[in-house]
Amino acid sequence: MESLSLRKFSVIHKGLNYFPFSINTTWEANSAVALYGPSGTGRTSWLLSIGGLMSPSTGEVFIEGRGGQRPLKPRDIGVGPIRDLIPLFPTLTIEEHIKMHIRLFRAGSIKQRTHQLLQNWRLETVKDQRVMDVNRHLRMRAGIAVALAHQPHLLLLDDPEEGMTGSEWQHLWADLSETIAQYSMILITTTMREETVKLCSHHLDFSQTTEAHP
Amino acid sequence: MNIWTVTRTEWLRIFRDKITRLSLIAVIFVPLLYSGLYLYAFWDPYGSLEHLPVALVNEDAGGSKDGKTVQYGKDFVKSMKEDIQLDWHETDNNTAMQGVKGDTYYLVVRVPKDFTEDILSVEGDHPRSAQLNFTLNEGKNYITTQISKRLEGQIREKVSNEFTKEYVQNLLDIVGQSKGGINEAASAANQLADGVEELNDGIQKLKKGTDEASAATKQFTKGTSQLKTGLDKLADGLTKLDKEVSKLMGAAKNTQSQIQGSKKIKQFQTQLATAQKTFDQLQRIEGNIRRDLESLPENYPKLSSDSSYQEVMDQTKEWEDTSENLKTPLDQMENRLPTLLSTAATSGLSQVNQLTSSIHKLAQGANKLEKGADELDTGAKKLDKGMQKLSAGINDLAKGSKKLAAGNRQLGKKLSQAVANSKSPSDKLAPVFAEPVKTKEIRLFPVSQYGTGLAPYFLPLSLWVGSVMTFFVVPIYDARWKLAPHPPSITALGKYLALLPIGLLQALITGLVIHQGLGLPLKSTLAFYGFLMIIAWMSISIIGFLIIACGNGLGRLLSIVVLLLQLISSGGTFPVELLPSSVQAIHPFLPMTYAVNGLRDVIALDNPAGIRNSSLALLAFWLFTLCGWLFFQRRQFRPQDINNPT
Repeated sequence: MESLSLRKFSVIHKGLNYFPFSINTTWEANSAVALYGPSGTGRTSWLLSIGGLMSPSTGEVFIEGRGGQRPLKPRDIGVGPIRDLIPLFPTLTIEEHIKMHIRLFRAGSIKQRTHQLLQNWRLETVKDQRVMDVNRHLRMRAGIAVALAHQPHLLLLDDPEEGMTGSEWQHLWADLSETIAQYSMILITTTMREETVKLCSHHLDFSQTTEAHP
Repeated sequence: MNIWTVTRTEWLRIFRDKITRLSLIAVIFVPLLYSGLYLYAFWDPYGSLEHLPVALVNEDAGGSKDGKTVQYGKDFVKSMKEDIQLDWHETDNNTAMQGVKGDTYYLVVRVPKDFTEDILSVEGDHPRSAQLNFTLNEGKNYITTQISKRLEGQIREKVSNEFTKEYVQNLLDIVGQSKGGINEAASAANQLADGVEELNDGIQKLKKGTDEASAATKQFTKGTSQLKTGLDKLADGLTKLDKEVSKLMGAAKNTQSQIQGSKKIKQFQTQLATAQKTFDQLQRIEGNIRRDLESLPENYPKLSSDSSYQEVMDQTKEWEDTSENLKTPLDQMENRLPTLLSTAATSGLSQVNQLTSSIHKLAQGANKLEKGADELDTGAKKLDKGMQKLSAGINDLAKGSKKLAAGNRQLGKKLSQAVANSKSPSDKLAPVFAEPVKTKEIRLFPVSQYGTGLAPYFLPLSLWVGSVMTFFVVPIYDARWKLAPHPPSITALGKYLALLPIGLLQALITGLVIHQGLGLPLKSTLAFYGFLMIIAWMSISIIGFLIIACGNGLGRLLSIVVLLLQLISSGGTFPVELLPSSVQAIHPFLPMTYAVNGLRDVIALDNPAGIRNSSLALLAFWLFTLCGWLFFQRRQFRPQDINNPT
């Protein structure tokens, strides 16, 4: 993938006056995009819509590469855990989760890929622990490892820094940066944490979104 | 392949959590708990009636029969205790009534004071029915009331048969004593038949005599006809003679004036000879008639006393006397005529006058005789007709006497047979009379226990409840599966496959315990377990479809509503024909109808065609809802999913 293009893209929900209302943009590969703004401003809906998991109100999303332009496929995206909406299966171990994902996407040797992911995301020591039994930081790491199991072009993370200490987030971002540098573009939603926004190459500011008045 | 990954992952999710594991085990046993406990508790309640407390109150004062004291109430109480398995409590009426109003007794059976007297009254002039009082407390327990009513019928039938047997025994003893009388009657009937046969012989003789009398009467009638003809001729002849004599008188008168003419005298003599000849002929005819008349009584003796006959005979005699008196002067006149003519024409004329007068009287007598002969002829004809009727009557009498003899013979035979047939002793006949008709129940596919009858109803019901509970343990919505690269129907199918072992275990464990533990009799064991498996898997499919199509809340609610509709419409308890028409209308459209019918076929009826049809119906419900479940899957999220994640 060389870039991700959004054409006249908008997600409008009843009850919200969105800002931005509609965008035309292209994000190059190996970049990080921050959708920032407070909770309830539609960031997650935009995230899912860009990833093709929800229908946008208008517009289209394309992947542009050597073969030209094409719509996103499920295999093109990896979605990290979204609290309450797309959590990891809490009773599966981290290793089982990764293996399941590799099997579903037929993403190469299960054993090797699992080992690689566990190692990359510093999860070897907790691989046999159930998701529900590890802390939020490890759970996010496990979620990212699972999301990257099939090596997607686009990684979607919803508030990845939530509940983490500054140190934890810095370590996680460092690992994410390596991943971005290798093969993926990353879209994250975040609150008004300035350091996160500064780390990203592109921003979509949802802070101006207000509740609609009848 | 992904289907198996989904299925495997779902099982891992369950087994990695202790609470989910325990919940799942509980869910697997839910159908067993539901149907097993119920069927265990009510497997054979009618087999435990010896624990049902029933009060027995005997107030019977007894009575007297054939000089001996009898107490049928006491006998009844003893019989009930021995023959009907209940928890009998002999007590007084007040205690019994308080007990049935309270919690002590479910039924009170009371024998009233005049029970024996009423039974004995059958042999008196004012027979009465004996009474037994059953007191139920329907408000306390309806089912017990039904059981009590069944017992009431059983007791009533037993008591009625017992006493009817006794009545009939008495009657048959009396009939037995009358056998001698019947024998005598048979003998008398035979004697009567002998007498009638003798009577018939006499009638035959009488008939023969009557026939002879009838033949004689015919001859008599013929004779009277001949007599009548002869008298007719006699009357005609006398009339002619009267006319001739009248002419002779005229000639005599002329003779006086013409005495000298010999030619006229000769003419007179010729006429006189003619008259004499006619007179002789008359006398001969009269002689024949008289002989005929005299011979009649020989053939018919009763004629001698007949007044008409006597009158005819008297007339004949008078006429004969008169003709005899006439004959002499007529002969003298012929002989003396020449002298008389020559000497005393005048005195001759006088004699002619006398002759004329006598002949005239004779003619009158002949007319009277002819009239009498007419009456005799008419009477003889009536007599002949009467004899013919008499003969015909005797014929009928002969036939009737033959029939009477045959009838009496048959009566004697039948009476003898009746006596012979009544050789059976009264103690064998009495039970038959007491219970002349016994019902024979042919049970094609006997179901001996209450639980066996209810199992086809409770098993599908419990498997449905088990399926509803399964979806409380195994979540059907998992948004994470939307991230999978395959179509959502693959995920749905994988999830469904993950649920099948749960349904299978529910069916097998429930079936095994009901079959082996409670002893449910089966016509086809393999079909039973297979059918339970189909019901379980179909129930999961239907409920899963409802939840997918309508959402978690509404889907589960609908599954309970469908359960309730199936409870009332499946015909598991009362026949569907007895249900309201609205319930009958939904009967064919709900799967439990076919589950119940199919299980009945498997458990009791051994009906392969029924099993096949029910299985096909269940498979149709199964496949239809499974397809719906797969079809209603969504790949993408909706905005409301974000705000209200499931």
